[in-house]
Amino acid sequence: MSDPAFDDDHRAHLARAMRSFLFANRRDGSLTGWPMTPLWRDDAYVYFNTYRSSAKARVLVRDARVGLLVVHGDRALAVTGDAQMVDQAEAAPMFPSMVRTDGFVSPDQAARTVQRLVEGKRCLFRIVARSVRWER
Amino acid sequence: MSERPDLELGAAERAAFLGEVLEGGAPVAYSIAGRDGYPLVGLVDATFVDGVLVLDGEEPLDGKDACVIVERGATYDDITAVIARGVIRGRAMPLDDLMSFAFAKLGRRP
Repeated sequence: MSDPAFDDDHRAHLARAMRSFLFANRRDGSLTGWPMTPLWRDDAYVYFNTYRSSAKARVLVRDARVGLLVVHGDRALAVTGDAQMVDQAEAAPMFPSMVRTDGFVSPDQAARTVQRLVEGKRCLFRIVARSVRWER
Repeated sequence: MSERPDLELGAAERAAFLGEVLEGGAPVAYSIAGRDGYPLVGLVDATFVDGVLVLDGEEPLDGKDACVIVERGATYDDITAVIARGVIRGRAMPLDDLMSFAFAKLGRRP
């Protein structure tokens, strides 16, 4: 799959990055944010997972507009877009192909996350990009 | 994460964390509101001086409603972050609306 929003440099960066910062709008219009582990499966979207009952999930369901800064080394990619919750049945099978196996997340943590996606305690969001630019 | 009070850092811990991470200046992630309602994001160099988070970017941030994240951590278990929200005055980020969490504090992720 391909997406014109992400060129080859963007995709290489997203494949390597393990740090990102997600920002969203609170109900009162002010901004909030969280450090996130970006998940990338080389399709058209950046993904991340969180607890379904978390404040983060509630914020994104209410207002999907997000800004995401994906950092790796001295480069940072800025993405704006809309966060969409992935259907639960679709989420758990997708996750193993996205999980980092380079030490950032242990196999136990990955297995536990998959289990919680299956149980519905965790959920998966995809970001549908509207704009992408290099911040650094 | 932020909604779990047992992961909150105390005020002294936050100050120590900010002082340590930002000693000599370091880039931090920030966001301000875009005209279309989508958060604009970027990196800005920041320092922590006399208990004040000071932003030193090229973007004029004075008067902007913003969110800044100061984070450190090498693995998923090991991340500590302070998240500041509010209106920037001059180059100072208010520290009266803070969230923080420290996975490392408990030695596990929540």
